[in-house]
Amino acid sequence: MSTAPLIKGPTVLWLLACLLVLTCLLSLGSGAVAISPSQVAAIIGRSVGLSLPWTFEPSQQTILLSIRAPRLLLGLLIGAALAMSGGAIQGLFRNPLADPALIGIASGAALAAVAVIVLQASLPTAVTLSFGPLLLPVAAIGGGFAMTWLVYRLAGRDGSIDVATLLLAGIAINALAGSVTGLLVYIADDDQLRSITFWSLGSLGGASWQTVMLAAPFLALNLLLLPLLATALNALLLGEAEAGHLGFAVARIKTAVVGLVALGVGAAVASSGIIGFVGLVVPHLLRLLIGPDHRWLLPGSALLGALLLLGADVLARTLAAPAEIPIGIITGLLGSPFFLWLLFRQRLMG
Amino acid sequence: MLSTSGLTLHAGKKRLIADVSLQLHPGEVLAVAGPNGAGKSSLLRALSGELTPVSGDIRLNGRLLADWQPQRIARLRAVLPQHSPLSFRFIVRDVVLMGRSPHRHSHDSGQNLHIVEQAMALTDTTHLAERIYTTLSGGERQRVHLARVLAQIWQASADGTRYLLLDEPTSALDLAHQHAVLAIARHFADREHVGVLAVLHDLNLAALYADRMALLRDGHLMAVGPPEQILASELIRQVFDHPAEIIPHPLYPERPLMIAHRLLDRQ
Repeated sequence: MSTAPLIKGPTVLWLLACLLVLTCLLSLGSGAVAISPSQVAAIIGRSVGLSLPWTFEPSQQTILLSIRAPRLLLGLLIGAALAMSGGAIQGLFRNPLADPALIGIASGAALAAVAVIVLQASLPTAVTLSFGPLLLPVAAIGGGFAMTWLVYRLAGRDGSIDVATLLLAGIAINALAGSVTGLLVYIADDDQLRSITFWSLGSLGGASWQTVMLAAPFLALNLLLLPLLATALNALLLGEAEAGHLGFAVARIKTAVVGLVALGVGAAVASSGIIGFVGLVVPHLLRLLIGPDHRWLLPGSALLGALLLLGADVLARTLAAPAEIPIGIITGLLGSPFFLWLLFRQRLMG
Repeated sequence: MLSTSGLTLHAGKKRLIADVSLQLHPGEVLAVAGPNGAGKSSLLRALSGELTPVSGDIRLNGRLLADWQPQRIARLRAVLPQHSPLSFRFIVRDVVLMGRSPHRHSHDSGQNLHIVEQAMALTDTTHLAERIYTTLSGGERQRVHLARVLAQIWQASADGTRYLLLDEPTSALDLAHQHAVLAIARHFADREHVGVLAVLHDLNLAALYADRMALLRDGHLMAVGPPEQILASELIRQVFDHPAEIIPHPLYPERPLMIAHRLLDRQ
């Protein structure tokens, strides 16, 4: 494939948007209690004052509105933010193997979150009171930001990124975060232990309207602002000096990308734990389809990421019903073989 | 005018450029030459704002380089790098279009695309437009980047003279394309009054196209002047540590031609 991709960016965006709507209906309808698409429409119609001809049970309405709808929204936002952040961080590092989970952003965020859970009692009350329920997401975002910056400083040399150092720094930071988390697990009580397990596996099971409201503003910032940096990210692929020659304020743009990615990944981790590989697989698949132009890649990644995460969530809820598999396990099972395939492909193609 | 006065650059403790004062005038092609490690690329990187001088200053159209807004200066000054780390599978037209990014707010996209097509035609890259950049040869990539930087400063600007800084633009090119690139540089200097500075290793190529040549050695500016002054056997031997004879070019007698000695014959 040495000429232009066959499918144009806008076409793929429309296609993904349509598929996403279908996946939303599937996600709302599947689970222990089945709800058909027409019933979904009727329930949603009822809550905005429209009367539609299809009938439904009151229990279906409760399940849809208070359990499945917030879960759908959270999955939608998190899948979109993780995938778009993956695309942006790959552009920043000029390497398609960079992934928020792989290079330590997610584990930095998780470490900060776990630390808050375990140490909450010993934190100054002024801190816990002034942040309230925001303490966890804010800590996770801060942890993610610190780790990204650290990795970036470690791997950057003379304005270029050393990929081996990048991945090794990621391994080191994941290991460090893993052992500190282990230490915290050691001193945690039973309740805290359950939350920590939940965080390290990744799950949408804790979704409620409250978690959605807490995470949504951060995720929305990530999703709305990252696409504005698309042309700058394109130029950065030419090299940092070249982007500077094209008039981009490179230092400011790098800080903005790292900050926005930390915001998205941190908020995602705070509400659903570490969900790996979405940020790696999604932008990669899209690049194969529509090429590397961030103006299409970033919004496309958001759509496909949401699609993939909602699909994985349906699997997580139905494969072992009535029990639920943590979604991080599903994305890990799907994602790690894909990552290995990528490594092989890179070696074959030199 | 793009000028340096008393420019000194350091990298750590190493001195890259020592007290260099040089002017690049509108409408001239200035070739910079010198042995490896003489500071040619460092000089170019200082002029393109990548390296900050230890002392001395750099002015572009009368204003200090640091006082320019990044996007405004990008509409006046384009820089062709020796290498670009671009490793993503962009199609060639999109790479050239990136050269228009300093103009993305003030012009309609139709005009930008039109300029991109013209720049590709000029650099003989039109037939590559739909190809994937990463599948091109080194020479083809170099011409694509030339098209990109030409597209960047294609139109006159209200901020004054435009400048084109080329770092070894012919290093990966065959004979015909080497001359094509310098003819393009000449064209932009003559017709558009762009100031062109090119780092070149081939002194004969430089002497054929440049208005002036500058020789650097160990960070010092050894000589600057028209080719017939610079291609003098004593000066060449001093700067490059290699003996050479100078004869008039058989086709263009006003241009000098350098004939190097074989190293074997040097006793």
